[in-house]
Amino acid sequence: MAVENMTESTTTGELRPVEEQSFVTWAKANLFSPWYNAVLTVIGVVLILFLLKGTIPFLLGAQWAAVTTNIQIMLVGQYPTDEIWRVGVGVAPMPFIAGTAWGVWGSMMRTFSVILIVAAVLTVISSLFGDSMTPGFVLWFAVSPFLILLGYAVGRRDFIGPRHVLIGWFLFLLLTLFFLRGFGEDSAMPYVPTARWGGLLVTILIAQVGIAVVLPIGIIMALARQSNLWFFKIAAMAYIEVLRATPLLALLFLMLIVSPMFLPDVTTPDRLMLAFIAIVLNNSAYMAENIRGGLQSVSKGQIEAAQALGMRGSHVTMVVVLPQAIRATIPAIVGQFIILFKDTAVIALVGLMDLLGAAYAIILGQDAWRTADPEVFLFVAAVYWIFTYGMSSVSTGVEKRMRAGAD
Amino acid sequence: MSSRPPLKLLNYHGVPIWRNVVFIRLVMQALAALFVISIIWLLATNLMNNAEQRGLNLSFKLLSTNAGFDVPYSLIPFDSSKSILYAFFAGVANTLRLVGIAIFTTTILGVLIGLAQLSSNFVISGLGRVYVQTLRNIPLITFAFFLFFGLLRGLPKTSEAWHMPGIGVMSNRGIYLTSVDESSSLVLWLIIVALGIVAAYLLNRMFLKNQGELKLFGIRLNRGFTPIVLLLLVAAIGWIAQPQAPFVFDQPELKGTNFVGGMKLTTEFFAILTALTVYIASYVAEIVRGSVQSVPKGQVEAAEALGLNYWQVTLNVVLPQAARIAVLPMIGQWVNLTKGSALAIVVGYAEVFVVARTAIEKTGMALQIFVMVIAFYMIMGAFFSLLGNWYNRKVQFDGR
Repeated sequence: MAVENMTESTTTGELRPVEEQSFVTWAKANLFSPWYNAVLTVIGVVLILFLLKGTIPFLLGAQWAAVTTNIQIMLVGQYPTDEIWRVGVGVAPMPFIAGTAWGVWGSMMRTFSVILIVAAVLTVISSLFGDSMTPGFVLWFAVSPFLILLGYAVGRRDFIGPRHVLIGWFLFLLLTLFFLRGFGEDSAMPYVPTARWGGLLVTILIAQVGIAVVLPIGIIMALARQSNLWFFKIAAMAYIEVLRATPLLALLFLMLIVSPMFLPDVTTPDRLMLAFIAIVLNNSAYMAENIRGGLQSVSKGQIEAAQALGMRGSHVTMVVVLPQAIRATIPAIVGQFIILFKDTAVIALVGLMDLLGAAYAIILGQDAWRTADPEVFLFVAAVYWIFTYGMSSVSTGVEKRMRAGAD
Repeated sequence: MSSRPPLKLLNYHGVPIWRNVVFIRLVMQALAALFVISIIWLLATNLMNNAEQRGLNLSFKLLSTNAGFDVPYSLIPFDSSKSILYAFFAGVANTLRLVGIAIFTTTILGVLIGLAQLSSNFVISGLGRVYVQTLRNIPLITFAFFLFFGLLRGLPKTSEAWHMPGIGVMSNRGIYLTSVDESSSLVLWLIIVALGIVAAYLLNRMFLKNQGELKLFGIRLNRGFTPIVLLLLVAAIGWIAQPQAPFVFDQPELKGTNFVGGMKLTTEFFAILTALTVYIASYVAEIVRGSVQSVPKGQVEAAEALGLNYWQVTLNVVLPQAARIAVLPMIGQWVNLTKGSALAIVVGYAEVFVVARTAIEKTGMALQIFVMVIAFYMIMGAFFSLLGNWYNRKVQFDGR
């Protein structure tokens, strides 16, 4: 414990306490020691002052009303106002699941959950300063931290394991989708076409469903590419190489413009679905390459040992190779999930109303907010930042745990 | 008198056919192939039906018909009477121009920020870290929107253009950089510089002969600096001694409502270049930081134990090893940059994807044009991966 505050004397090898440094000696040593360091410090400080000079007047005079009055479009798009309660109820399992994940995986997920709680609390606080936010939204953001904590309490119980969290997440996700989509015209929950879904809701839904779909496809494609059956190998190679080479944006336009030409004339495919497929195709190709790296890292001795035990080929893959390969690639997998989350923003370019698309529509569509683009885009960037930062904290947590396991 | 059981059609070497590995593999592949082929066949039939109903022509020969649209900016001369294929290649040229310049600027900015992150000076390293953490955690397109809208509104009129002394001017009509043109005395100056290089080389040879010890008027000459100083001196004399400088700096000047002279970058080009450079530099910075930190500490300590000073350790021990780790991911970022250039569609810089979009809108040949676009990006990707493989083979240790 105390060793951290001691330094080893080079001559005697004894431990002695570090001398207290005054700020001046510290600054001299760290900021001004060779002459060029002093120059760098001055340049850095000037740069910081320059940035502050630009941002502070902007932040003081910012028209945040552009964000607050349009918060409904940013959060749920054009989802019918009468039906918004369905979004609130349908999405409520998400913070709960995040909480259980925190309970089950512990420190790895802690930062993510804490960030979500802080963001929700800040939203509620900021809503106190203006009355433009619907009480329903405020209520939802006020309740969600408790849902996270409730999930944490559940996740801490011994009989809840990773498997329960994953299955629960998947089932709740399906339920949410059905809940948002609705049923017939006359039912209590009338049908809402995906064209009216939007905002952060769509961003998060696409990211989550994408995550759930991309990993299995990636695993299948990686296995096919590694297999010694030439047809599977060639098919997987074509899939991976073509999709990896194509920019997502081109794939997106390809999906929306060209793919209807390949479908029977009677069908009009859902645009959101097509955009989703484009994102999945692109990311699953990258995911396959990540997992292939993991498959190659499994030592040959493992496979030979499993074969010597008399295991079938498929058994060797499923029980011996794949678990080790996936464990080795978890950081890359989480990294790919982060990329997928960021990739969802591209759908704004084909006129879909995700978070970025909603912002775009607000600025271009309403004269009052034509000059509010910095505020709106800063808000959007901040929302993306919160989620991505949370996810990358999970990734660092995983890496830390893996390193601890390797020692 | 074989010990094997007799061959039967469905019973090879006594193994029933449904357990025969060769047979199972064959059947599995045949089924998969059948499945894939039938899907492709289904899609192709749909395509044929749709094409017939809507009167679409799916022939690639159509690409040689007149474009009938204009490409706003083109490196290679283009007008609307040229073919669609030609328009496509005008777009390709524009993409290559953008990507070529962006690779250069991104790598420089990224390496600078990566090194800043590693600095022991905490003001500098803090700035570097804030830069990287801010940009890496937002989508490129969100950043691009923020930047494009900001530039669109923020750039001043030509009469109030921002003047950057020595560099150029910025206004909403475009960015005019001071350009460097050759003058009539350039050839002579280059010859003088070449002579300087020869002289520096000979001086270096003399140093080698005398084991690094040379004296001029009793003063010991520095082995590293003297040849460089000699070269610079010769170049400077050659510059000054001639009546006309070898380079002419062409400053943009306001004439009427617009600027004349200098090198013009359109606002669109500037916007997409800035967006790609600033954003992808944050990824390059992380690669630089990671690769430098991954050089084992023992290497640095061993070099210090041999008596090398800080710069010798950095330049001769750390950087070569870090570069070997960094180059492949760096090329990966160049690929990302190439694909990110499709974002130019937001500002309308006429790169290949924008030209393709225009062509599709004007001619309706979506399928043919998309095939071309994907082929282009695949060729670019193949080029970069060849580059990476070549480098990898070059730097790989033997016996690894």
